[in-house]
Amino acid sequence: MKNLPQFAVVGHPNKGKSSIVSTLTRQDAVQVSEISGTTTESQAFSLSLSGEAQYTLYDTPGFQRPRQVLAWLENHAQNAAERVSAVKKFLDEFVTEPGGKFHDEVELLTPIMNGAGIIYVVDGSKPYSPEFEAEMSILQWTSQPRMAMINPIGGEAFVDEWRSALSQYFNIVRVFDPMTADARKQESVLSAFAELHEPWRTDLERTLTALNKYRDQLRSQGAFIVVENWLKAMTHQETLKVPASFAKNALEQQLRQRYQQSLQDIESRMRRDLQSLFAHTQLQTDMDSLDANIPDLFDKSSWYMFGLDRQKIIALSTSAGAAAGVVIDVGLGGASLMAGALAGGLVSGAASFAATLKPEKLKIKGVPVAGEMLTAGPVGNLAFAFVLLGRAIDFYDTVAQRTHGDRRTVTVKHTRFDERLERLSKSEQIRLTRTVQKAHKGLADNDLLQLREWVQTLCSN
Amino acid sequence: MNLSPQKQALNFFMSHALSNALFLWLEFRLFVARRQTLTGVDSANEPHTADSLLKTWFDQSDYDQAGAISSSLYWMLMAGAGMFAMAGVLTVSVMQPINIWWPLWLFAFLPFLMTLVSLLVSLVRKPKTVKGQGLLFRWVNRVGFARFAGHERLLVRWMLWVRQFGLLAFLLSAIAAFFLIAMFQDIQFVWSSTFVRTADGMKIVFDIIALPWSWFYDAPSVSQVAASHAGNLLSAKPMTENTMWTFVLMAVVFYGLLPRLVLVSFSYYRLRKQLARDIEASSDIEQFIVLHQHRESQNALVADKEFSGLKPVEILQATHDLVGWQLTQSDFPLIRILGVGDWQDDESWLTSEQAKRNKPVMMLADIWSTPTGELADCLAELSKKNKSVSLVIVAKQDLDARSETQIRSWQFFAEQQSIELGLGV
Repeated sequence: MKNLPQFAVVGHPNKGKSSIVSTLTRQDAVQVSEISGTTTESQAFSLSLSGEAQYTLYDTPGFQRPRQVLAWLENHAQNAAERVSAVKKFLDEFVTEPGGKFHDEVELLTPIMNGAGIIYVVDGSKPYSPEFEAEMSILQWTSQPRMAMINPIGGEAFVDEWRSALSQYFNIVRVFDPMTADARKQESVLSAFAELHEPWRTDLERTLTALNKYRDQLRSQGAFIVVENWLKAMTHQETLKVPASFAKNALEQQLRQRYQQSLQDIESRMRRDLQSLFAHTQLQTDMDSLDANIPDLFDKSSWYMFGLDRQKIIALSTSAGAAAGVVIDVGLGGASLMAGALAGGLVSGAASFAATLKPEKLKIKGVPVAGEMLTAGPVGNLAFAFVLLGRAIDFYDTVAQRTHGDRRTVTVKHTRFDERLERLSKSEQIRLTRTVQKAHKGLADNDLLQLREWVQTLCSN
Repeated sequence: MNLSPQKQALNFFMSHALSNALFLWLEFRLFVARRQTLTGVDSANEPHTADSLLKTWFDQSDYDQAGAISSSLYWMLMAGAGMFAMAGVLTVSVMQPINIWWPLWLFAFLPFLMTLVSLLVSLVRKPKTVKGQGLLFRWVNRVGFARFAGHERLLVRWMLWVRQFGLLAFLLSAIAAFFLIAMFQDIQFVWSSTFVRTADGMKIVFDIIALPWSWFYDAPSVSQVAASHAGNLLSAKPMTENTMWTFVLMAVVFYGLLPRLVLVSFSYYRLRKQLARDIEASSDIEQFIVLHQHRESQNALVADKEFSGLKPVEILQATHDLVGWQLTQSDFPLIRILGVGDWQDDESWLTSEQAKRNKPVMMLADIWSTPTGELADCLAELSKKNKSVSLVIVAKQDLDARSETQIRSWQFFAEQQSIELGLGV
């Protein structure tokens, strides 16, 4: 197994260690709690890009008894040279004590003494106080490469104060908010990791390149999810037979509801796919539901027994007539030059054309074999087509920008589509509109791929 | 350099025959859409590559090859039809000459016409929706493909290819039947026409028909054309030359078989290309990997209990001895501040007689400090020496939304330590 860069994220309880691990490893399964002390065991989480692990972060419990640990260490080290072995001795002594007094310290120091770099997390919204010094001293005793991360959980009021205190104990100090960190911030933290320990530099620089590539890939695949599902919604049709004209209004209402439900289902499938792609499977979202109350929703046509449409019936009866004509042609040894087939087809086709002109009058022994058919969809209304696309892009944009440490319910903000359109050139705007206009008839592969590119441009991520 | 997951997936699916590749891919997409996970895949180990996950998925899937089997059945049916059709044409009049126009029309010109129409239709009409594919889809749904609804674009391409391949099978088996029958029966092809009466006139027609292969094989000569006139049969003249079968065979190959072969290859190429593009553009592989990479936190404490509001407590020196927890800047008359300086100092005070108080002890802590094990130790030591020890949190500023969460942390801590908690006023 490759020796990956690894870091233990440590600190006082409830300073956002788990959120940082979650954001930097893109794992939304890391337990994040606002309650202090919920993490009880060190656990490794890796950032994997397309199945390939890049680095490992250890989510650790917070320091519970740092002054007692430091006192113990000081009693077991006569000089600075013995400090590392004192920490090891501490682990040897207390590791066999499950649930013991120093359980949390053992848990957090073990990965460090196994070679992990240190990321010490503090809260930048609360003032620095000397009681943190015991923790920082212990970390110093381990002699592992270490950096400090100021997490501005509730603001940045004391960031400068913290920075000057931390810089006395740590090689690198960075401000990082796991709730809002965009790609650039995350990259800057990774660059800091690379600076921390020379042997990991190459791996981490490779990770930075891979991460950029991976983000591009996710953007492209996310846009494809949007386009695929939008097209499904655009071309979706619901049909309902109207057996009697008095039931038509009620059936129209029923069909409208069914159609709306189908569009909502397509939209929720798209959201689920996007969440899954961006590894936000547990994300709670709040978005107004789709209203498909569009004008000219219904189209009327006719239904026939056996589920065939009029065109099919005429085509089939033409073929049957032609086949009968062929029999005559064979009987004449081909001398008729297929005239029988031609005549049979024409006569039979014309007869079925005439017979299906008024479907409601087609009855067998008084039982209707044809009638009116109500069809809802596909989406021919251009404005509604843009509404569907806009909603999909809004959601995609929100999920793509969401960090994994942020567990609040996300409210999808709607951006005016014309604002988004500004990101395309005039000619592209026209081409996009033309593509949207014809989408209800289905799109060819090239149109789909082009639309994917446009969706990526229309997004702000 | 490692292949991207999309490339790995492409290699995996395309290593199967085309029908199997397609239906495996569609089954896989359904698997991902249902958010199913593989059994026995331990994400705690080395992250899995797309290839290894797909192989595990394949081993665990109950893929039944229904698509491949149904297309094979269709091809066999078409091959049987081709054989019967040729046999029917060649044996319709036992030991009698056969009108050459019948086999030419049925196995050369008509297939050629159909090939041209299919080619034009497939070029002009792109498989965008199922519209116009109703009958085909009904057949497809009969063999249980309704579950692949939503993937019509691929299915339509597949059905076009299956259909073209079926017609190819029809012609191939017809040619095989031709040879089989010709082996045991002397097949005489004759021509007749109302408008062309002379061998010279018909020779021109045959020359035009033979144009595609005339560069390596001659069209029938005038004498051969003359000898194969149906009138010879009527005049009961013995036919000395029987070379018209090669002409018929060439026509079937050049008008029926080869164009169809080209169309089949074209359909195959287009289906393969579209399938490859679908695999590469789709996010399903990434979703599949992500699903198997997720790790839950182990033994994390779940503090989902709803705590009731915190009891306000009046901090009075007269009734309580006040001990501070990390309260270095406090207006309260504290008898001792714990949690700052060395642990040994705290410990020696806690174990000394000074920690034994006459009045109930109230430990004061700032709401924004963090409840830790050391605080728990101090409270435990105090409780050993005193009958009543309580914990009171004090806030320097008004409480906001974030304070509520912090109070919950304190409540969680107090519950774990079984100590009375109050909010100082």
